[in-house]
Amino acid sequence: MSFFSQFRFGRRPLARTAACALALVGLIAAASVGAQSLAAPVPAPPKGDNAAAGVAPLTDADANGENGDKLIGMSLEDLLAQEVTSAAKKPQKASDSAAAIYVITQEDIRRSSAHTIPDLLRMVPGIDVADINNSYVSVSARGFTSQFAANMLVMVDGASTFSSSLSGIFWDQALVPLQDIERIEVIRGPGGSLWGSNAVSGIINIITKQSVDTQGVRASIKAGNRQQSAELSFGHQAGDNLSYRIYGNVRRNDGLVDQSGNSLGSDWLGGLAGIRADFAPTPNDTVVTQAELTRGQLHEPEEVIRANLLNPGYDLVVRDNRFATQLGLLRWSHKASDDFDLYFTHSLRTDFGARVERSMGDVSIEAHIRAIPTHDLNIGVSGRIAHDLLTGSPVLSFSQKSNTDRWVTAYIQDDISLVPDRLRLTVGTKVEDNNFTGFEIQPNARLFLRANPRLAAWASISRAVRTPLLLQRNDNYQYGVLMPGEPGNPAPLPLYQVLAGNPQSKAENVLAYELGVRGQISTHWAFDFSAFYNRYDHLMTADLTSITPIFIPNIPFPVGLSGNFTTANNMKGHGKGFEILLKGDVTNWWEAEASWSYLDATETAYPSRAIAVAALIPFDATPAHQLRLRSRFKLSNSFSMNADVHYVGAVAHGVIPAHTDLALRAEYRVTSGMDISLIGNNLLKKATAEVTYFPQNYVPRTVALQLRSRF
Amino acid sequence: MAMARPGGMNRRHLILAIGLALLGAGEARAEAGADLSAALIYNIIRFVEFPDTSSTLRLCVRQGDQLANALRQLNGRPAGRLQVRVVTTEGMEGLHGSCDVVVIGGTPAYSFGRPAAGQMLIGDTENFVESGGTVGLIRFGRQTRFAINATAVQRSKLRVSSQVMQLAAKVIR
Repeated sequence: MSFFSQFRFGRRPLARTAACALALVGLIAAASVGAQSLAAPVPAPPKGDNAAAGVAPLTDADANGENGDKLIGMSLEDLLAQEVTSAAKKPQKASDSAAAIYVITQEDIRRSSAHTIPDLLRMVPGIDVADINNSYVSVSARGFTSQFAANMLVMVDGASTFSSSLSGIFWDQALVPLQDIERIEVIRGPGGSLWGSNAVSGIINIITKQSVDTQGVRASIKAGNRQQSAELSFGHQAGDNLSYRIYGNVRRNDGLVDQSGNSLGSDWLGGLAGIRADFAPTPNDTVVTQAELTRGQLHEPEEVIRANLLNPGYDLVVRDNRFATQLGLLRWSHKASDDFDLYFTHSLRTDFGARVERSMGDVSIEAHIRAIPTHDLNIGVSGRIAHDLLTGSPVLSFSQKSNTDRWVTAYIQDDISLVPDRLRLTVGTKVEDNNFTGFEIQPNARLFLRANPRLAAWASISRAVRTPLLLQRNDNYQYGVLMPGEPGNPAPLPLYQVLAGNPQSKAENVLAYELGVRGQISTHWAFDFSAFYNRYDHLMTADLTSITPIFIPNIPFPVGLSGNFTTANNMKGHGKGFEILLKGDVTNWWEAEASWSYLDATETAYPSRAIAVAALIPFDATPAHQLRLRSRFKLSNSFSMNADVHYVGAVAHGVIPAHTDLALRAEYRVTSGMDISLIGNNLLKKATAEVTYFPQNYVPRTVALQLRSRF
Repeated sequence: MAMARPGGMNRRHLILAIGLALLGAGEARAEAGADLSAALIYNIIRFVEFPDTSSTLRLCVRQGDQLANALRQLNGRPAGRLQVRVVTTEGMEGLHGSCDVVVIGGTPAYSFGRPAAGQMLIGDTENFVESGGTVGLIRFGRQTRFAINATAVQRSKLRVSSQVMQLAAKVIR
C-alpha cells in the first residue's frame, strides 16, 4: 500500500455507453417479445447448466408444475442442489440471474489443485486473489486489492463472516474443509440491496454440504514440500428427518518466501473442529444447528520501525500471532425461502503485536411472499451487535480500549414478471442504520431478458456502500519511515508516517451500471459476458494534515519529521471493464474453460485543505488484465489431469511485474472410494510476488501428494 | 389451478374446497417427487457403464409402481452410447428377465434378490442399499438424495463414474 500513489483520472465515452445499458436491454426485450412467436423450439438443456453461470437449485415444490423433461435435462449436481442462490436470496437458476455470477461446483473443488478457499477463488473470472503475507490474502473484484478493503462480502451458508475490526475477513481463518463444501457462489458487482453494507465489489457465499449428504467417513491427507493438511468427517442419518456431521481439519504451511525461494521464517498452523445437525421436522421445515471451534498460530515476518530514532530504519521481527474463534449457529428454514437465522461468534486475533477480542451476535428473519403470480416479494429484517476489546502495541494502538458497533437493517425486493418466463424486472432496496456512519440506503433495479432458450441478457443499476473498518475509525498506526531522497520524502530528514483513524469517517459509495449476456453457442459450448461501469464517491484516503519535527532529549535539532496522516473520504473514482468466459468440450476427453477479465479504474482527489491526499486502497494494486485457461483431460476411467494456466497483469505501476502461473493435478482413481493425486502450484517460477509488501513476500512453488478416501 | 371466490359459499363448501385443494396439492407434490426421482435415476444411469454390449438399456418397472409414469419419460433418451427403453411389467417376476436397470420403488431390496451381472437395482425403501440394492433413493425432509452400494456395483460388474460416487449421500462397501 502506498500513500503516495499517482493520481490519474480520465473521462471516457464508455460512461455514457454503460449508462445506456438498461435502455439497451429494454430494446432487446421489446424486439424479442415482439418476435416471441418466432422463437426457436426448446432444445434439451445443455450438460451441466452450471457450466458458465452456476446452479439450478430445485426442490419437489419448485418442480411442482414443471414437466419432467426439464428435470431430466438437468445435471445430477443441479438436481441435488437445494439452497438459495446468492443473487436473489431465493432458489433461482444461476443462468437466470440478473448478475455476474460464477459457481464453483463440487467437481471443480474436487479436481482443483487448491489448498485453501482463496486458492479456489483464483479460478473465478474477474476475481483477483493475492497472497500478501503469511496470514493475509486479498480477494477482490473490480479493484480494491488490499487486506483492508472490506469490499467483498463473504458468507458461509448465507451467514456473514464480515469482520469490521482489522480486516473485512481473515481468510486464513476460513478453514471450512474443502471436502465439505457443496459449492461457492461468487457474484461480481454490488449486492448491497439484499446483503447490506460492504457488498460493494461482490459477494462470496460458501455453501457447505448438508450432513445428510456426507454419510460415512471421508478423509483427505495432503503432504507437500511446504504444505500439509488433513481433513476428516463422519456423517450419519439418524432417521428420516435427522442427520449430523462431525468434522475437522488441520493445516500447516511454511508460509511465503523471498525472491530466491528461501523461507522468510514464517509458518502457519491452524485447525477447526465442528458439529452440524440437520433436522427436518416437517417436509417444509428444516433446522440447522452448528457449533465450531477454530484455532491457529503463525509466525509472521514484519518490518517494524526502529525505536532508536538516531538510527532510522526498520528492524525485521517475526511476530508470534494467534487466532481463535467459537461459532454457534441456529437456522430455521421454511420451504427453503423463509428463514430465521441466529448466530454468535467470539473471536480473538493478534496482529501487528495488537490484540482484538470480538463478540458478535446476529439475528435475521426473511420471508418470501408470492401474493399474486406476477410479483415475487422478498423481505427481511436483521440486527447485529459487535463488541471489541482492544489492546494496542507500539505499532498499532487504539484511541478507545473497547468499542461496540450496532447495525439494524431491512430490505424489500420485488421480482416483477413483465412477460412470463421471458422478461423480469427486479427492484428493491436495503436500508441500514449503524452507530458509526448512520443511515445508509442501497437500492437496485435489475432487468432480465430470456430472449430464447439459448440466450439471455441482463442489466442493472445499483448503489452500494462500504462502511469503514474499526481500524480506520479508531487507531494510531505507525505505518513506515521514508528515508531522505526516497520517493515521497524530499526532506533531508527521515519522514515517519503515522496514520490516525477518524471516527467521523463516512461510508464510501458506488453507483454501478452493469450489463451481461450469456448463452449457448452450440451443444457443447457456452459463454458468459458481463461489463460494468462504476462511479465511486467518498473513497477512503490517507490525508497528510501536518508535518512536525521530532526532537529527542539532548539533541538540539530535529532527528526526523512526523508525517501526520488521518483517515478521510477525499477521493472519487471510476472503474470500467468486463469479464468474458467461454466453456465447453474440445473433445469428449478434454473440457476447457477460458476467461479474460479487464479493469480500468482510477481515483482522483476532491479539493482539500490537506497537504497531500492519497488513496487508502489505490486501484493500481489490481491487475488490468487477467487471462485464464483451465483444462481437464479425462485420459481413462481411472486417470485424469487438470492444467490451469493463469496470466496476471502487472500491478503497482510495474513494481510487481506481470506473471503467469501453472497449476497441474494428476489424479489416479485407485478404487471407487479412493484416489491419489499429485499436485503442483506456481510451477513456472520459483517465487512470484503478487502485491507490494514489506518485507516483500513471494508465493513459492509447491508440490504435494494427496490421498482421499470415503468409506 | 383456478380458485373459486369464497364469498358465495357456505362454510361447509369452503372447508370442502380447501380440503380438495390440499388433496390436489398433495397429488401434485407426489407427481413432482416422482419426476425428480426419475430425473435422478436418469442422471445416475447416464454415468454408469453396463457390460451388456447391445445398444439398448432396458429399464424395467412394474406398471403399478408410483414411479412408472415418470420413468416412461425416459423412453428413447440417450444414456451414454445406449438408448433407454422403458419396459413395464405386471409383477415382480417380469423384472428378473433381461433388464439392465430394475426400479422396484417401495419394495424392499431383499424381495427382489441379488441383482444379476450387468444389472442395477434401484429402490427407495429404508436401508435399500444395506439390504442388497445397488442405488437407493433417500428422502430427507422435502429433498431426495441417493445412496450407492459399491459392493453391489462391483459384483454386478458395473462401472459408476467417480462424479456420481462423489455426489452420493452415502456409499456403503
